[in-house]
Amino acid sequence: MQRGKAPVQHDEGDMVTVLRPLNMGRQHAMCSTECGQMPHNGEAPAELSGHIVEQLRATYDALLQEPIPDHLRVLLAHLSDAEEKS
Amino acid sequence: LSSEAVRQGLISFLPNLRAFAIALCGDADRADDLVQDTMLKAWNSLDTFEEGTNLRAWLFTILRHTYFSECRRRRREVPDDDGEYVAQLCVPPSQHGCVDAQDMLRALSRLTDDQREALILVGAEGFAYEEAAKICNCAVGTIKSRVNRARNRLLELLGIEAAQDFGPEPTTEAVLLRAAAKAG
Repeated sequence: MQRGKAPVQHDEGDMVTVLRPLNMGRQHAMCSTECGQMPHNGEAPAELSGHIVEQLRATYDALLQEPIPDHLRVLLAHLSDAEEKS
Repeated sequence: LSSEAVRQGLISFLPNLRAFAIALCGDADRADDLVQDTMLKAWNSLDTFEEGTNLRAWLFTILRHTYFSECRRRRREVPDDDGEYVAQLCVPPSQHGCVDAQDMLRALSRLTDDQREALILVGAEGFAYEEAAKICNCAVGTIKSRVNRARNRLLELLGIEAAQDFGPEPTTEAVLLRAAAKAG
């Protein structure tokens, strides 16, 4: 890609990076097909970001459902007993 | 707080602490050790906990410190580069979509430590950006940026380019379509 020029050919929904002259930062523009997405700062479209967080939560929920090992529960009981006795 | 109140708090947050620890280090046994150390430290530092503040955030902060101290001691930051430990975790596969738990955990293990913890705290644990920033001892903007970068990196690692990539994998989809056609 040439500095200062957006690529002409791209698929629908592609994010087009427009490079500005040095020291003026970088800006992402809309796809020329106007697919309705407005990416900025290199972010993935909001829809995908939302989905990936949903998937992360599903995985995390599975971890939350795992049984707590007995030794951790026993440790808690011990701590509590020791506190009471002292 | 009475010791009984703290004990109840620890019990109720144990699953969260353990899930956070597993997601951080990618190893269930190591995660249990981390949770155990966290519980001991929390119990021995009860006098530093300010009543009325967030017990869950306090416990997460202790666990995080414990984890990074241990990492420094071990002189390594990503202990499961190949996802070997993650593969041994007993996590049921996701019922929806083709990104299963193993893939997600493996991808998580390949994020940088700061991106991973930010995404888990905000995206999975539901902490507000401000709370996560406090736990990680950094600016709110830094957390936002880490979460954003982590999400993008996860999409990249999981090879997701379009929303359809989250749908059922092709075989399941074909079965569903056939069942729907028969029913219709």
